[in-house]
Order: sequence, then structure tokens, then C-alpha cells
Amino acid sequence: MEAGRDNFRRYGPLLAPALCVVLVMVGFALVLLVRASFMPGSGPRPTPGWSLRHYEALFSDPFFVKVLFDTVAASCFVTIVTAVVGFPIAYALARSGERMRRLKLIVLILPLSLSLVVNVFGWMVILGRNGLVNALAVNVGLINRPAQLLFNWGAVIVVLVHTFLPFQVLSIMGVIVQIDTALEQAAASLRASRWTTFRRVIIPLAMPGVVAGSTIVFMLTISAFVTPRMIGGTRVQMHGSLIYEQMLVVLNWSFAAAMSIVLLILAVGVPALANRLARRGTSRAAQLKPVPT
Amino acid sequence: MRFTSKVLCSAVAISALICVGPAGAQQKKKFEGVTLNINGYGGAYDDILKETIAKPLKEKYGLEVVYQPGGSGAATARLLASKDDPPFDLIMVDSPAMPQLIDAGIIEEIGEKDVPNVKKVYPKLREFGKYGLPFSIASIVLTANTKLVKDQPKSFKDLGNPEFKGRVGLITLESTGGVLTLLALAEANGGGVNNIEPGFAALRAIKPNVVAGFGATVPQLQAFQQEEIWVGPFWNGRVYELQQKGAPMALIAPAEGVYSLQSYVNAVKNSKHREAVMAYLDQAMTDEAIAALAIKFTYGPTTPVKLPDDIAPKVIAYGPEGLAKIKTVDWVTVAKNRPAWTTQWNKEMQ
Repeated sequence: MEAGRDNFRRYGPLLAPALCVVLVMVGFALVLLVRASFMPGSGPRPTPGWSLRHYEALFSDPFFVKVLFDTVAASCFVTIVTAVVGFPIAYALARSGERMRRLKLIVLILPLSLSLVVNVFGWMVILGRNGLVNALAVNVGLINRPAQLLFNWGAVIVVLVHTFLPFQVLSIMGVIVQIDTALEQAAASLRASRWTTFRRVIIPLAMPGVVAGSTIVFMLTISAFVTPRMIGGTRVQMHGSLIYEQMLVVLNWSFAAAMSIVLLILAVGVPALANRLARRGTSRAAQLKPVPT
Repeated sequence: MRFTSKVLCSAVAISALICVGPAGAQQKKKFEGVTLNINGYGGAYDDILKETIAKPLKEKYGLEVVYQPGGSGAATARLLASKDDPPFDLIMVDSPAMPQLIDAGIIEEIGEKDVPNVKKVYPKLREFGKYGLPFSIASIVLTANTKLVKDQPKSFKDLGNPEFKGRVGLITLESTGGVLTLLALAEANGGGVNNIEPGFAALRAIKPNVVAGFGATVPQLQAFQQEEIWVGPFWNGRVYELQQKGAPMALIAPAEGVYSLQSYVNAVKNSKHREAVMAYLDQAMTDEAIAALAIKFTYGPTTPVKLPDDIAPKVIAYGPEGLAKIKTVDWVTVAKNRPAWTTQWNKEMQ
């Protein structure tokens, strides 16, 4: 406890400029958005008065509730997949030599440097009926005819994982790099297998990186709207796409504001809840270890 | 040393002369230093506008025109958000979006006084009184891949035939093309702008065959090219574009009728360069500008400009018979009902 307060006093002033910018730019806009979500009108102009009708419309309609549920479920799934796939990559990167690490990092981050739309178009070509994946599968003999790989949840999940994997990998890598290799050597000297070392030394120590990376990936995925719109077809609806439609096509700005506030609460709340649960788990594990005097 | 310093001196002197001389002889063009912002539709469309409107304006008046590609929906939203300091001086939108712009009071009426070429436009095509100048007629037609499809569909209803299972690509209501398709289906089954349920009933019959809905033109174009979808409603000009690119796509006029809308270019209120805006509008209505779009995309011209003989038969809305085929739509009612239709579309097609 004491350390936390001490840290705040020491580092608080360093955070002050950034905090000011965020409070003014983001906070002010957020206040306006919250106000807009309670306006009774359904158009692009501000209307006076307060009303809960947009929140009611959102939660009383099973369609919107289902889309919200689908979005959260998809985000959780993508987060878990990026964590599982990204951890080995992060470990490999962290333990590589300087030059190899730089090269691999470039390959990993390259998709980030392109526009998201370009990325998705590329995936539409790869996953298409005449695309790379289908051609390979047919040639190898896995399937007889090209399969429908686009315009379904599978395609959306694959593209989302590919797009947000770098964030997870970078976050985990940053933590693993700080794990002293002496710890792994010590475990080996105590006759622990590679798998045991990985399970009982590396993974627990790298957890903060996984948690941070997962939070970022979850927030990015839950607000995704370009990917499901372009590669999801009609069957995949995500909350972000609906907000986009209400905002720019239907021009019902108050309803879009209400949907955005709900999305914000979920985007912040779900990772916070997961964090709290994870921390309770690790603190219990810490209680079992003897405390050095 | 002395040699190089002599060369340097003369070089400086000569370049000074070059800079001062012509500058003194040049007179300032009328709109020199003025830049107009307009939203763009992207790709080849913008290239033609740049060639036939922006370039002549630059040569005649020194006027710069910047096209910012992005959906007209996004452009409309940006204009609505900052009415007093608009990010665009001109905005291009299609007929369905015009009522919102007029309602919000962000575009100006355009008369012959400001834009002399207004008198060239067919009076029938100015659907919104003095607001907006129509410069192109786009129609929704059916298209089918002739290589892969044996029996071509003759109507939107045919898209529900079992042989098209998993081959149909629709346009969502995010695009005006989707609105036109829905209207065509509704009116063919006894409904209309005030009774859209027959349209949705017809869509439900097509739904099992639908593999994807597209909110933007380019992903759908790519899907046709890659044979992801074989049949579906599409813009007549884009079908022509596919044919020019070598894709074996047929253009079929649907039995429900050829529903069209027009592309308007509007003068935004509170623009800082009103006179330049009027000059742009005047240039946009010249024969070269109108004909260029028609020739490149086979979209219909809105003025009685003569098109070359090899293009004319391909343009659906050309000439008096062509114009008679265009079905008039009550866009004001469409704009009012579109939000409800959009939500229903999402629910039905999921």
C-alpha cells in the first residue's frame, strides 16, 4: 500500500501533462457524448430534454442485445487466441539475438503499417474461392471443391486475430525480455524439464504482459467495425458496425451515442473485471510462498 | 578559386533574372490561391472529374480543387457536425441523401444568375427544385457472370431461384443501391415507399441464396471479379466497368423496372469562396464534363449532350426513350423511412 502511494507522489507529476490532454480532449468529448445519448431526438441535431428512450430501444430489442452478446463473445475469443498464439512468438522473439529479433519484429509489425482496409482486401483475395487457401487445400486433396471461406464468422475471427496479434506479442515480449535467463538455468539445474520451466517459471512471470496485451486486444476487437463490415457478409453483425450505420447512414446520432456509451462501459468493464479476478488468483498463489524476512 | 567564384556570381545573377523577369510579366488569375474542397467518389470517377472540371478551372482561373474520397454519408455527417465552418465548399451526394441536406439547411439554391449552364439541365431531372445540380444518372440493374451462369436471371425475384444458392451478392441499405433494389421489389409486389413489407417478403425469398451483402461498391466489384458472387443487383456503370476489365458480366435490365437516382453536386452554405464554387458548378455542367462521365461509365447524362455512336446504345438513360424509362421516386418519404428500413434489413438478413 505504502509503495503505491509513494509511487503516485513520485510519478504523479510526470503523468500530469498527458492526463491534462486526455481530460480535455477525450473527457470533454465524452461528456458531450453522454449528454447526446440522453437526448430525445432521433436526428443529427441536438434536441433539448432528457430521455432514456435510446437505452430502452437498445436493451428491449433482442436483435441489438444478441449483436452485443456476439460482439463480446467474439472479442473474448480473439483475445484468448491471440494470447495462446502470441505467447510462443513473444518468447521466441525475446530470446533471439538482436539482429534476428529486429528482423522478426519488422515482419510482425508490417501489417500495422498498412491501412486496415488494405489488409482486409488482401485477406479477401487469400480466402476467396479462387484464393490461396482454397487452391492449396484442393491441390493437396483436403477438399474436393473450393469452400466458402469468406463472409462468415470464421473469416472475421481470422482477420481480427491477424490484425491484433502484434499488440499481444509486443506486450508479452516486453515482459519476457526482463525475465533473467538465470532463472531458467536454475530451474534446469534443479532437474525441471523445459515444459515444467515454461509452466512454473516463465508463464507466471510473464502474466503481467499477457494481461496488458489481452486488455489492449479486447478493447480493439470489441470496437472493430471495418473488418466485420467488409468481410462478414450479412450474417456477421458486430456492435461497432451498427454504431457506424446509425451515425453515418441513418443519422440517428443520439441512438449511436447511447450504443457507444454501452460499448465503452463494456470495453473498460470486462477487462477490469478479468484483471480483478486474475489478481485475486495470483495473490492467493503469492500467499502460499514463504515471505523473505 | 577566382574561376569558381566568377561562375558562382554569374549563376546567381542569371537565376535572379529568371525569377524576377517572368514574375513581373505574369498577371494574377481570377481565383489564384483559392482552394475548393469537395468530397470524391474515389478511383476512376474522381480522375474524370479532375480531368474535365478541375484541370480546366486551374488553367482558366488558377483555381485548385481538392477531392477528398470517402463515402458521401461520412461527408454529409461532417457537414452536419460543423455547419458554420464547413469542411467542404461543394458536396456530391445522390438523390436519397438530398432531403437531409435540404432539411438541415446546409446547401444553397442554385439559379441561372449564378450558374448560367443551369439552363442546360433537363427540367424533369431537377427533383428538388433549385437545390443541387444533377450531373449523372445511375441505375440499378442485374448482372450475371455469363461464364458460370447458364440461365440468366431476368428479374430481382429470379435471384431466389435454387440454382443461385450461395451465389447471390446483395447491396445493403447502407448504399443507395440497396434502397433502390428494395423499392423495386416492393413496387413489383404491390407495395411502395409507404408500404415496404412486400419488398421485405421478396427479400426473404432470396435470402437463402445470399452469400454476402455489400455496403460499398468496390468490395462488391472485387467479389464479382473473383467469382465469389455470380449474380446480383449492381450499378449499370460498374457493370460496364467490369466488362471493360474483361470480366464476363452481362448487364440485364430487371423486369421490375430500371430504378435510377441522380448524382447531385451542391454548393455548401457559408463557404468562404462562393464565387469560385459557382465557377466550379458552371464548369461541371459543360458538355465535356457531363459527356466524359457518360462515356467512361455509361451513366446517363443530365443535359442534352450528344454521345458518340458506339457509347450511346449502352447508356440506359440516354435520349427521350431512355429518360422515359426512369422511374420517379419520392425521395423525401424514402429519407423518412430509411432508418426503420435499415434496422429491419439488418434483422431480416442476419
